[in-house]
Parts: sequence; structure tokens; C-alpha cells
Amino acid sequence: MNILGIETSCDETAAAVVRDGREILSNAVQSQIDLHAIYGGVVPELACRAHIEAVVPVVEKALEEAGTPLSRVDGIAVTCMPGLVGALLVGVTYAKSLALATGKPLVGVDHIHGHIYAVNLAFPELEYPFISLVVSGGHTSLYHSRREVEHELLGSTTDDAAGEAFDKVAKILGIGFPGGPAVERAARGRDPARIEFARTMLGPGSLDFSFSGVKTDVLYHVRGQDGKHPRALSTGEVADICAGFQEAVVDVLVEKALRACARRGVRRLAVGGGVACNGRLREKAAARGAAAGVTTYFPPGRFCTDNAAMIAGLGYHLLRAGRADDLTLDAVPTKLHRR
Amino acid sequence: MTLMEAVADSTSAENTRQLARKLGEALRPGDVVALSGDLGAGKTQFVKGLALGAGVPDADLVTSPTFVLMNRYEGRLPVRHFDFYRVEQVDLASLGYFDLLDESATVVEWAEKAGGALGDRLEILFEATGPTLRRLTFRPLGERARDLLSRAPS
Repeated sequence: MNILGIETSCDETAAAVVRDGREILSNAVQSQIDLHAIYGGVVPELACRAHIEAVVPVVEKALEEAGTPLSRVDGIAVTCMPGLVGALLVGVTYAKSLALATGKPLVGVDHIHGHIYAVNLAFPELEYPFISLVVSGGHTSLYHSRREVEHELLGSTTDDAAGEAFDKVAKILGIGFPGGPAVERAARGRDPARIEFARTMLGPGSLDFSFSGVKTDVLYHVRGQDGKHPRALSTGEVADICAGFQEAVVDVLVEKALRACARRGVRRLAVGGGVACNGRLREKAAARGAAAGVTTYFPPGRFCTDNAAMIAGLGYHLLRAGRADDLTLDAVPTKLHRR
Repeated sequence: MTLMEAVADSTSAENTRQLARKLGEALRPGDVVALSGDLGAGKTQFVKGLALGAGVPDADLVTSPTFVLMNRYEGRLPVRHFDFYRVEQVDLASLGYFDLLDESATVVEWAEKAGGALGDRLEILFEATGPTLRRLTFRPLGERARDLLSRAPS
């Protein structure tokens, strides 16, 4: 079964063809990061227009590279939540039009569940159940994943996402966008214990996250106790702040993920989303996981960032589970909460 | 023209949430609350309290919309929570700001990026006066905002 996947939830326009949920026949991505970097932020109107311009050529490229004409596609999967509503609508509307024109089955995919499935794509041997941690600019969530289409939400951020904290700290320090790679680069080779920042655990039983405090901690470290007296920082100081901040975020993520493993008696941990590219997170999760008898699975970078192969792959399982959608499928900007 | 301006000092994040909760209890459909202040000034904490006051069942439901630009919560009335932090050019129409404006209460973080285009609004400026101390200045800009501020118990 060949599934065409379409992803337009934020900064990337992506399309992919995946066979039987496993074999990636093509995986095309066109990023708007450069476009947004010029402005230093997102321009929503521009983001939607860029998706509109890119979606047809990106889908055509994915079909061509896969050697699969639309007539040999067996289903269409599209990200329908969460994300920028205007951006999501471009993919959803295009996918619905394709489904209507070709009569192929259509299925809407949760972007965050897609990030979990990306770990399956990278590690076909990974067996369910496992604990999954999805960390990106917009999301920080822990799940008990029982099968491809069944994920129980155990905890999520109560304020800022981890990737958002990286972006905001990079902006406070003036070291560039996107913040994750900039902070990691600056922190390389520095002693993370030289400057310590808050690790917000939210109580011994909690699997939720809070990254607003550590961001504010960095701000006051840089601007003085009243927040009004910025000091000139040397390159070395900036690097130490980055190392201390990164360590604080990584410690919380690893601690909570391993807590979830212990609580559910699960010995496998899958990590996805853009922040899963972070080298320090990979190192610490692997080391502390090994000590706790937990094997960690981090996909290569191209499967951590937004892509459509994960949407096509998960779409296959959703269609097989009878979860096809009709043409009333709509974009849902905010993820529905568990409580 | 500003007819009345109110100032409140907050000693902690919890205190900020309590202040906001009282305002939240007074919210009516169509009200707009526009928050301005630096990173870490307590804007998201304020929205958590505001949402509780508006009948949203759990403050943990309120998270930063920096990435998705808008969250929506269901309380006694719908609460729309915008965040323009990473938006370079604020185009309110393409952000859906005017859709459902009259049916919901609206709160905006980094509102200074949109300025007067937000229309009748209660502006709240957050100023750090110490590591956990914050001064909140309430400035009603419009008839509706003046009415909101006068309904809210101080």
C-alpha cells in the first residue's frame, strides 16, 4: 500500500510516499526557515502563501522521486493538527481536493503522533509498548505508546515548550535563530556546572513540564536582579550560560522521561521532534537510560524535524485501523488537552 | 484618551494569577486584554489567572501560544489567547483576530506589536521591579475597556 503524506503545519512544506508504513520511497521537504530568518520571526501571511506556492511542486516532486504516479497511490494522509491554522489549512485543503478528484481514501494525522512514528521509521526493530517524548518548538509531551495508533498522554508542558525556551534564550543572548542549534554550538566543550539554572520538577509525582522559570532565570542572570541592567557578556560567559541552560533543560527532560518509564514498567524510550537533534540530550538520555535499564531511540536529524514520511507512515496504520476521514476533515490549531 | 489608570504591584507569580483572576471574572464577550512586557515578566502567568476567572477549569490548560500563535480555551465564555512574540509583521486579519472577536474574550501577549489595530482594549503593562516583583499598569483604551475595568473588583 503506497501512502502519500502531506505536512504543512508550520515552517516546512513536505510531501512523501511511504510503502506499507515502512519503506520510504521519497521524502521531499521545502523549508521556510531561511525566509523567516530574514525577518527573525514568522510572518503568518507569508508562511501561508509560501505553503500555497510550494505544496503542488513538493507533492509532484515526492510522487516523481518515488516513481509512483497518483494513480498508484492507495491513500492520502495529511497533518490536520496542531499548528498554525492557516498553514494547516493549505495541506488539508489540498489533500481533500486530491481525495475528491481521485476517490482515494483520506486520513488526518496528529503531527505529534507523527513525530513518534518517525522513531519507528528509523528503527523498524523498535517494539511497542514504549514511552515517547516529543520535544520541539511548539511541543513537549510524554506518552505511553501502546501501538502505532494508540498513545496515552502522560504529561506535557504547563507553559513554554522546550524548543521555545531554547529560542527565547538564544534571543536574550543575541546568538541567532533557530535557538536550539545556536545554544548547542555555543555550549560545546564548556562546563555546564559553572552556571547553574533552575530545574523545575513540579513535584515528585508530576510528569508535566515547565520551562518558563529557567528562561526567566537566564534573563535575570544576564540583565541583573532588577532586569534593567544588562551587562556586557564575554563570549566565554555566553558559552557558559548556554551550557548551564542546556543542561538544566536536558536534566528535566531525561528525568521525567525515565520517571514515566519506571512508572509504566516500560524499558524503551523513543524521542522525537526538533529538540531530539540536541547532542547533549542524546548523550544524557542514553547514559542515564542505560543505568536505569532503559534503551533509548533517537532517530537521525532528518526524522526529528518536520517531514511528511512520518505522516505517510502513520497514515498507513490509521487507514488499516479503519480511521479514514471524509471530506469534512478540518484543521485543528490547538491540540485537545487530556483533562 | 486615558480616563483612568490603575496600578497594581505583584509580589509573585501566584499573586499575578490572583490579580488576573479577578479581572477574568468580569470578562464579557468582545473584551480585549492587551499585555505588554519583557520576557519573563509574567504575561503567561497572568493569562492562567485570567482564564480561571473566566471559568476555564484548569490553569494547566493555558500554555504559551508562541509557536501556534493562538490557543483557545472553553470557560464560561470562549477565551482566545494570542501571542505575537515570534510574529514579525502582525497582520491581524490573517491571524484570524477578527473572527469570533465578538463571541469570545481575547487576551494578547506581545500586544505592542499590533498596537492600535487591536481596537478597544484594556492595556496592561508589565514591569519588573525585582526578581519576583512586578508592577502592572492597567490602561483602558476605549469605552468597553473602561467598562471592564470598572466591573473588576480591585
